[in-house]
Amino acid sequence: MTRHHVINAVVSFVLGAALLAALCFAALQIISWNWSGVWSYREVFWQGWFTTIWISLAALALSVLIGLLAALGRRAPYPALRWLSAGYVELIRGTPLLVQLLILFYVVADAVGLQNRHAAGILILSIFSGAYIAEMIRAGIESVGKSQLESARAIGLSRWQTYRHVIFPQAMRHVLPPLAGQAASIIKDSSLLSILGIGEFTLAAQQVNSATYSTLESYLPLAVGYLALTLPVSILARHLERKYRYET
Amino acid sequence: MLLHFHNLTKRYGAQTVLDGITAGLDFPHVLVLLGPSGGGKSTLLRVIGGLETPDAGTLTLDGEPVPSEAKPLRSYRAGIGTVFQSWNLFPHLDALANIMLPLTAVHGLSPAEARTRSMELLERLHLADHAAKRPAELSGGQRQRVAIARAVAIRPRLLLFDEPTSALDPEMTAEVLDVIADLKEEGRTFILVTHAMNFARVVADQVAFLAGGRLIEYGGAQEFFSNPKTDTARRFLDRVLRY
Repeated sequence: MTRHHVINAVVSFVLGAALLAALCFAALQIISWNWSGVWSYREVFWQGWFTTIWISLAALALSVLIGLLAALGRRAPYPALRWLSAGYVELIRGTPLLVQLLILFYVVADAVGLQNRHAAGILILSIFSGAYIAEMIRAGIESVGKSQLESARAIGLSRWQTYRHVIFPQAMRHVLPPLAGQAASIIKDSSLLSILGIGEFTLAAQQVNSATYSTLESYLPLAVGYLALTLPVSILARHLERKYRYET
Repeated sequence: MLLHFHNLTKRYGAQTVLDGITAGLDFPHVLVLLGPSGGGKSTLLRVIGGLETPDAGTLTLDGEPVPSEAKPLRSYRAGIGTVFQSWNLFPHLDALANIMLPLTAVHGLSPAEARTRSMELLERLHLADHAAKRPAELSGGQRQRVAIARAVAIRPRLLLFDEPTSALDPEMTAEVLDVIADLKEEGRTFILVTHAMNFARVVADQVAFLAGGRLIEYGGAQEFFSNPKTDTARRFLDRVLRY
């Protein structure tokens, strides 16, 4: 990071913090805070926060796997596989996550006897996110030039060796930055799992709210808790973007 | 080496690039393919290298037909060293790793053996100092020499050069042509497509002249350059050797 970037970041942070402080100060004048009521539920917050973290990590890993399979499926030599992959991506990207959660959880998971809420939630979130990651990986693979594939053919690499030694390492630089952004999306989207009764961060905050009737005191920490996770990931994403842009 | 074509045909859409070539080309070490652009030289080279499948006809190399099924075709390609006009090195690997990859992944050498053999070649081509550099950090001439090292390292039965100096400035062209001339000295067998006429004249044993997808003329290099038999070849030589 250059000095210019550091100054920029510091100035933005100070301005943002000042604005937030002013807002809070104004709010202080109007409402009477009840932080002590919420504070006694801090364990609930922590547990929800950590649940969100591990659910997101699991969903990220699984969705990369699903995305990779779907991206390879779209390039498979068999038309049936190509159509299946394309259909999956379009279907998932064309419907809201909330609708997918309702259908897959209450209809499909129920029908196949998947009882574990956490497993079902992670799976659905991964299926959703995997469709977006599939497109990122596909774009990364397609960014590898034709001459590279020809070179791989000329030296006698097999299909799999070509992916392993030539395509994947070169596609990585195109895939990593948007993938880091997708990780932030997964963290935010995992909040919807609260409607399935999964005890993650958002559900925890809702429970604290109904126990204390302190809405703002319950939901402000919620927003801050998500930001604490997504901001570092966003910074990582931007860092990766810069790093790979210059290294051509 | 004896190359034999029978009715070799290749089309791209409506365009016929190789128009039923039937010929036997017998050359000791170096065959140069000459002819106007679009005449079929590069396509013929790619068919010989197993990178393009002919639409009709057959091709044999020392009596062995070039396979058409995927797996035997892959091992056929693995036995031939191809050098492209724009070097086609792998940009994410350094020079040494570029040369080692076919050795370890395709030819079953251990990493240690592959490293030794690759470093020997890099030293011989005066590239040892650049072993750890990626293609982006090398000059065009250095890149092409690394590409030649990659093709030679596999100890191919045949080397193919597809206009190896067309993307280089004159100085770099010279450094690459020096390497190719050395390969001839070492007694290696190769087929070269080039527009560097003077070099072709020096290095070629035999010359095949292609135009319009047909093999117009084939013969010894001295004979071809001093006394071409066909009008097409004579006009071509007049044009390219005028300046």
